[in-house]
Formats: sequence, C-alpha cells, structure tokens
Amino acid sequence: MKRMERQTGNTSTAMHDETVLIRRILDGQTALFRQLAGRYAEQVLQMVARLIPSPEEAEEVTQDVLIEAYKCLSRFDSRQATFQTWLMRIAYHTALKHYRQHHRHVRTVDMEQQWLDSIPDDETDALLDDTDRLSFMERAIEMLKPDDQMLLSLYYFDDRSIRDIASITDHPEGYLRSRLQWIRKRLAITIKSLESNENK
Amino acid sequence: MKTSEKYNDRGLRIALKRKYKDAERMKLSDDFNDRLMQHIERPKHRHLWLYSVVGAVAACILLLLILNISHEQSPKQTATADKSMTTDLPIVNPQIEIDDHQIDNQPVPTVQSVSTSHVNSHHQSRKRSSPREIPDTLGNEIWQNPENIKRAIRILADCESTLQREEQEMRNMVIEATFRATPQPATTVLVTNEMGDYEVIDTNRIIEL
Repeated sequence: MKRMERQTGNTSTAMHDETVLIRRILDGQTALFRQLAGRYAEQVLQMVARLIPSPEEAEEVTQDVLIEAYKCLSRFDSRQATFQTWLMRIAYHTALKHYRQHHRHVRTVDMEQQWLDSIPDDETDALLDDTDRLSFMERAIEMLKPDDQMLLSLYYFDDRSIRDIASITDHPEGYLRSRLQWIRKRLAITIKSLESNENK
Repeated sequence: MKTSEKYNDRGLRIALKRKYKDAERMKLSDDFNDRLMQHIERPKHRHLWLYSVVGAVAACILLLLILNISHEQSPKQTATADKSMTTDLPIVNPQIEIDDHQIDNQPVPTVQSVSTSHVNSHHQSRKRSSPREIPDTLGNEIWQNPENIKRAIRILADCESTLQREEQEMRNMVIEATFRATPQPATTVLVTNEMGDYEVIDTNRIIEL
C-alpha cells in the first residue's frame, strides 16, 4: 500500500514537473522541448515502427510527430489526458496517415457478419489462447487493416485500457469494445482457414 | 466484454510480441534530437525574414503612394508657376535684360498675388475668378520696380527647382529602398545617371554594350 502511495506520489510529481516544463516551453524557452521530446521520442518511434518497419521512414515519421506536438503544444490540456497519451494520439494518427499515403497494399478478406457469427465465442477464445498456432496468428494479423492492427497492439501489446485507447484513437469506448470483438472473431476464422489450407 | 474485463488470448499476445520484436528494439539515431531542434527553431527565422520582407514592401507601397500624391500635385504647381510667368508677367526669361524704358511704356502687369509662401493657394485663387476681379494684396506699385519683377521670377524659378529636386530625391529613395528590399542577382548594381536619378542596371548589359 505504502509502495503504491509512493508510486502515485512520484507520478504526480513527474506530471507536475512536465506541466511546468510545457509552460516554460510555451513561454518561449523553446530549447526545453529537447528535454520533453527526449522522454518520449523512443516510445513514439516504437509505436510508429509497428506500422512502418523501415527504420529511416519510422524515424522520419517520429520527427513529424514531435514537430506536430510542438506546434500544438498550446492545445494540450493536462486535465483531459497525460502528455504521453496525448503524444501517442498524434503518433497514432500520423503513422496511419503516412501508411495510407504510401499505398501499402493490405490484403484483406471481406467477411459477412453471418460468417463471423458462425464461430462460437468459446472456439474463438480457445484459438486465440493457443500458443501452437503462432505463425498462423501472425499471418492473420498481417491481413488486418492497419487501424485494426494498431488497436490490437494498443490493447494486447501496450496493455492499455479501453478508455486510454479511446482517447488515442478518437473512437468511442463502445465502438472499440465491439470492434475488438469483431477483430478477434475475424482472426479466429482466418486462422482456421489458413490451417485448413495448410492441411490440404 | 465488461468494462473491467480483459481478454487473456495468450497466443495472440505472444504472436504480437514476435511481430513487434524489431519495432521494440528500434533506436533513434544519435543526431535525432539535434535535427528535431533545428526543424523546430527554423520557422522562427523564416518568420523574421517574412516580417522584414512584408515591412519593406509596405514601406515601398507607402513611399510610392506619397510619391504619387506629390507627383500629382507638382505638375499643377509647375503649371501655375509657368502660367504666372508667361501670362501675367511680361518677362518670361530671366536671362533677358530688362529695358527700363520698355517697362515704363508698357501697361502695368497684372499680378494677382505674389505670395510665394504657398503656390497652391495662388493656383486656387486663380481658378476661382478672373484675374482682374481678385483684389491685389500688394498693390500694383510693386511691379513698377523692375528689381521686384526680377526677384519674383527668381522666387518662382527657385520654387520649381526645389519641387523638382524633392521629387527626384523621393524617386531615388524609393528606387534605393526597393533595390535593397528585394533580392537582386549578383550582377545588379545601383547607379546614378547623368540626370542624378538612381537606376538599377545589370552589369551583364554593360558588358554586352
């Protein structure tokens, strides 16, 4: 309990420190942005790199993200979200925009709701929990749309809450929950079909 | 899925970890922060440059407007001075010797006003009514002395030359300001011609000539 309190205390001190830093940057001490960017640049790069695997391109997009953050810094409201979440929101949108602009072809399979309903929830859970089908799973993830891939990475890889993801992606929480369910079912069906193709 | 609930999906988590393994290891290049700060601080300089250009252009427009106004006024003033010299005064050329007898024999010249303080008011008074209707403020006696006539001619000539000089100075100022404010090729120079006017010329043109 005491450790938790200490952690909360540290977080609030860091947040206060960050708010002061942002205020000083906005007051004209531009050079301090180096300090602020230094804290999150690597995190932004790693998030961008999930969609853009080329290191040079990912670094270029990271730079765009931080420049955009600097330009919009006056619009940041610490009562709505933390600076990290706010920055990730810019990173999410910039990376998706860059991805779409460069016409990367994504092979997607149209699926009817009926088809998605054909697989029971228990089977979906079992398929996605199974650690023996990893290669099929990876291929199935590749077939998803970029924004669905990002949603999966934010939820499973970063372990973020739906509320946090909603503020990053600008989607309502209800939509995200149903979308996540839809993606899971779709992954399960793709894994099954890839598996059956392999067996043939 | 409840709000607090989280999917377990172990297999999917591992697959995602494998997929994003490279992304997790990615590092920024050493000069990233320097390049970023360069990008951030560059627009400031651009703004300063932009402001100075806008300021220079605004100054040029203002000067041109002033020049245009003075240019519109000066022909009237010159015309007035010329008219007063040619029509109202018997002697038009100051170089001509004045013959005292000739002056005595001639009728007394009609001058409405020799107020040299403001040529414009003289011009306006001339416009309003015919010359004879305007009351003579100085009296006709003044023109009986040829020295006064000579002096009046000299004053009017001075007025005109002052106006011309001021106009030339203003024009030169505008040319110089425009030359300094706008980016010029290295071969372009600002010179003064034989009339004393500034001129922007290309040295390549001189070489060609």
